[in-house]
Amino acid sequence: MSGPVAPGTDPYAALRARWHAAWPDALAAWGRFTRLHAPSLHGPGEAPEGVGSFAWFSTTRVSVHVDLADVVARGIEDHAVAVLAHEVGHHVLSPGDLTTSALLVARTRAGLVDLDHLAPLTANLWSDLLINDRLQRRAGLDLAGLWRALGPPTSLVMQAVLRADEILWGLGRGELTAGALPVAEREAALVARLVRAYADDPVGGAAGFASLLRTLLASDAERATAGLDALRGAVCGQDEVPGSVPGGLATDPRAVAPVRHPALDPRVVGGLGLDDDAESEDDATGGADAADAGGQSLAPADYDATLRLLGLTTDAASSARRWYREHAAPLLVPFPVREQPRATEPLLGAHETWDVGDDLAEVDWTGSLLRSSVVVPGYTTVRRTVDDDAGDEPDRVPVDLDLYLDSSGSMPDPGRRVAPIALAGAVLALSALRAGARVQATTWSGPDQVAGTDGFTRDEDRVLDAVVAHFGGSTSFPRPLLERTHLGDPATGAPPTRTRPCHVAVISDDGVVSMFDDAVRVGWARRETTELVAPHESVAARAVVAAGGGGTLVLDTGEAVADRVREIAVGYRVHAVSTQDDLVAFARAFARELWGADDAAPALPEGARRAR
Amino acid sequence: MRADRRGGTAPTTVAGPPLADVVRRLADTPPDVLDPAVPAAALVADTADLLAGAGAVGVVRGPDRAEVDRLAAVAPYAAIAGTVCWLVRDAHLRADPAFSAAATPPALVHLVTRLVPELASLRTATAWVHEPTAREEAARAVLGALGLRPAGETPEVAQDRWAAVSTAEQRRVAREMAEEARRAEQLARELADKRAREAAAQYANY
Repeated sequence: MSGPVAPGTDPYAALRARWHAAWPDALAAWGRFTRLHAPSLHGPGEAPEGVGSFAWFSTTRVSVHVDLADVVARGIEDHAVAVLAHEVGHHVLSPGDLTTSALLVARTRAGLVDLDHLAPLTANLWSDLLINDRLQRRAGLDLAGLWRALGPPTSLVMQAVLRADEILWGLGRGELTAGALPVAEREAALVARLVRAYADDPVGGAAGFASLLRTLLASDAERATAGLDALRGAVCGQDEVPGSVPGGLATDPRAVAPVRHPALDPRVVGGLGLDDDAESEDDATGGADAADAGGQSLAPADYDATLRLLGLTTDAASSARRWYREHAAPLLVPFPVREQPRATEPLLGAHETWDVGDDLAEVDWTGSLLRSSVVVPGYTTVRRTVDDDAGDEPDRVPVDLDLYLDSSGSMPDPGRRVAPIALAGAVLALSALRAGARVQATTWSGPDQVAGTDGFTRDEDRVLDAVVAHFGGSTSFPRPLLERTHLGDPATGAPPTRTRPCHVAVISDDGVVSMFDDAVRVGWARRETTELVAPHESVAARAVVAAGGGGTLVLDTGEAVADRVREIAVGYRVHAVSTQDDLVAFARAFARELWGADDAAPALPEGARRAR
Repeated sequence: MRADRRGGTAPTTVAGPPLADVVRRLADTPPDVLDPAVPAAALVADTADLLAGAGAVGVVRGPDRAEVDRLAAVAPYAAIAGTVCWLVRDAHLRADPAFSAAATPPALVHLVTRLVPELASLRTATAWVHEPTAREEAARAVLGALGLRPAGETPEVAQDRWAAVSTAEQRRVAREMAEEARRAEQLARELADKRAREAAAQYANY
């Protein structure tokens, strides 16, 4: 199957044929309608590095893999149906898809408290247990025979897990477990109950399973590497495509449900009639890893850690981008669209830069290649503009967005904690991009700490990068950039870089006053030597008038500070946002002010209304 | 059922019928037996007569009969007592010499007056009959009360399996683990509080 093998030279040909012949039976163990493409049976040296087991699966590729060389080495050639049906189970029962897989890792990570690196292993061990029990008891496959062939366990965790299997399958003591190793009898008894209680809810039981085995895992980890390696060899591997996105993970409330020890879980021990059931019902510990803001979803840092453990990312910024994109999605607001007279006759216009994020079909390849023989998307690519003759019918032109994000030390780091203010920025930017507008996003902190898209773009990743960036320095608004964008460069006399009507939005806290420090002298604001201008003549006020799309200040402050800012921020709407609820209110207000009170209601996303 | 009844070293038991036979007989329990309208006391008396053999009539009498009557008046006990009678009446089981030697009228009275209330405190008769794990527990409990163990099992294996299926044993394990888990949580909470206090103190020093 995998790797080119010359005919007649494959020492595993017969074995390969036998295992392929077992595939239909393996699928049939999960029902008549289960379909999956044939397994990849690897020969010696063909297995990828770091999988660590003789069999592994991939939810992103939806494939089953077996290392035949390892199978021969372990002497389990005759258990093809059991092994293959088990791997099919990873696609049918647990985890099934990448999001569930990530949820399992997030849950086991929470349950393990401080053994992060063992979370994926524990998650797969839990899935293995559920699958094996189902196959042994319901499909009538001989998983116990497979374990006997694999030999007695050498790690404490496997010893407990196999003891649980003995209990579950009505086997005598020592049939699967090793006589030489101590058995964690009580843990095994609870694991057995846990498996039955959560047979059809892998995510629900994962955290309890991890918290139950935590001490055993820790002692295995302490026994040099022998214990853990033995454990890895006995648990299915997982091999996902880096960069895949587990959709819905960032907003799934199951990821941060309180970790409950199985002995305190009514679903596990409820049937035993313990006197203190009622107490344990309320005994939600929450603690360990609950996210900060409201505890309704994973914090960005936990989200990043989960993706890293699954090998899906190595970049905290990209995790943060995904987190804010997912959270902003249900809050997107209708972005202003200007109606202009429509042309009756299209006229071919000049070339303009085709940017990443624009429709690929719009690239004028001839024009691009004439400009440069090397195509660099967003730089040398051009598209043909079509100018319009003024007509009678209105045309809708989206209003661009000029977004300034404060990342001074007083703002929370969006990459670590849930930052409602950064979420507000993501909502604005993504709403604008969805409406077809271009966005210039700029992150600012101290005098020389300015980063961003440097110009208007439609590249969502670059915009979100600016939203989640964090300097953590002092506070000094980049007024020269605002001036260059909307009023033109006073030094060179260059025209404004903005080409269409534009909305100016600033995400900040009380440090926003540095934006108006040519009109007011507040606290640490500089320019004490220069003369102040009237508020309506400040650069910020003139810029918002020139921009022609209005302005919004979104501030992480109380209402009192917001009121003070309203007095000096001529031409800007000021919103105070410090919690998720405020954010929804902001989204409503933003939509209402731009669309009128009555039009806003139906345009609001369903989730926003519910959240109120 | 208290685990300590047969706890510690494995009690001396005699190999009886195979467990599967007992479990199957339980699974075959007709709904009529579970019907609260069935006069369970009469069923127990009839079964005792059957076990006594030789056309005996009215072998349960005196205080035993009074106690059986008293228990059978309670609906949950009656259904389980009926199930136990259904089990020991099985001709196939009684064909096993060890079983027929153990299943005497006094043993039946013992089952009804001692085991039935214990079983009733854990599950309803329907649950005992319909849940697979419960069936095994009930079968082992009845065999154990008769001083038998399933055929093909050593006393140690029988004791081990009993511990694995016994609700009382599971309850004990769950209690112990719950106690430990609560203690661990308490420690974790105190540690987190301490860390938070230290962090706050450090912050306040700036």
